[in-house]
Amino acid sequence: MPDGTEKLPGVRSIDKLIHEPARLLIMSHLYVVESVDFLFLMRQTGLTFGNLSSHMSRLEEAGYINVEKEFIERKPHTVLHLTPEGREAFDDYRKNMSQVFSGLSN
Amino acid sequence: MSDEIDLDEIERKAYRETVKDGFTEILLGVMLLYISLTWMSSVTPPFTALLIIFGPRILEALKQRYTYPRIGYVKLKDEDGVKLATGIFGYMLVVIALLVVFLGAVYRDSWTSDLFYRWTPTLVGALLLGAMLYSQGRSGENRYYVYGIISLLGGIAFSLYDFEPVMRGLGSYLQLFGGASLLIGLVTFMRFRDRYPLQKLEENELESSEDTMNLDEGQ
Repeated sequence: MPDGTEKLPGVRSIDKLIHEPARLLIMSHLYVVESVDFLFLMRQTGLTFGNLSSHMSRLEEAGYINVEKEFIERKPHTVLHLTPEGREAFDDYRKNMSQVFSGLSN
Repeated sequence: MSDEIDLDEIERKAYRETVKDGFTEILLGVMLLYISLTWMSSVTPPFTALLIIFGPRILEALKQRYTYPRIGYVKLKDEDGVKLATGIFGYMLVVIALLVVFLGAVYRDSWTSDLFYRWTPTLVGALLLGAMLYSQGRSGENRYYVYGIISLLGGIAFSLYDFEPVMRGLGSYLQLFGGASLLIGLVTFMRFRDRYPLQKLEENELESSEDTMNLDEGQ
């Protein structure tokens, strides 16, 4: 049964995991750098500790980001970076979104 | 949270974060002062090799101690080394060529071997301008234009002044601009320390975040 999205090619293929605003923000920040730590990402995105941890966990489960935990002077230190799959997924997301908007007309 | 996502601006902001502690200006200042020392004494101090080897390590150790615990750690994307080296080399060649053409035109009938030494401050000023233009491009901060223009104009002013001996011109230029850079860096660092207190992401916070994750997963 048609749901109306057939007129907008790309809508169906939008990655809903990335489409969530907080996760989109996280992916965007990781996309332009090599790696960041938890504190840096928290400050740049404005997300709370728990919120960022929660979204980070989702993205890690999807294989989009890699989370490395270590201890520096007995203090926990978490470093994050995009995986090649995450980078590809983000590129696809941007491509799909641009297709969706180019399909919209006034 | 921002309503708009501009990847270029996010990248520029990440770069700005890496230089907001003042260590870059401090390092530049130390380098310029050190070069002035070698230039004026015409003897390369024995710790040049140590500075090259341990300089980046010392900088990283300082960042680990003062910067990362305050604003976090970011590793920027590695630049294309060949492209960067070609750009720097090309820029240097253009600057040297322009300077030679300029000096040839102005001092056509009075060319002396001292002329090169006399105009080295302009050469260094132009190279600093290039470095500042690069920093402006990466950070988007217009203050680098001001630093670059002042460096170049300062170089020209020092070249026009009659220093005796002539080599003192570059030495004085490096001391003035190196000292200024060091001072700016130290003030920036002190303000950075005041503005950004140490952040403690304690283990109990980590535990509470794990609880949050469990809650999220349960929903």
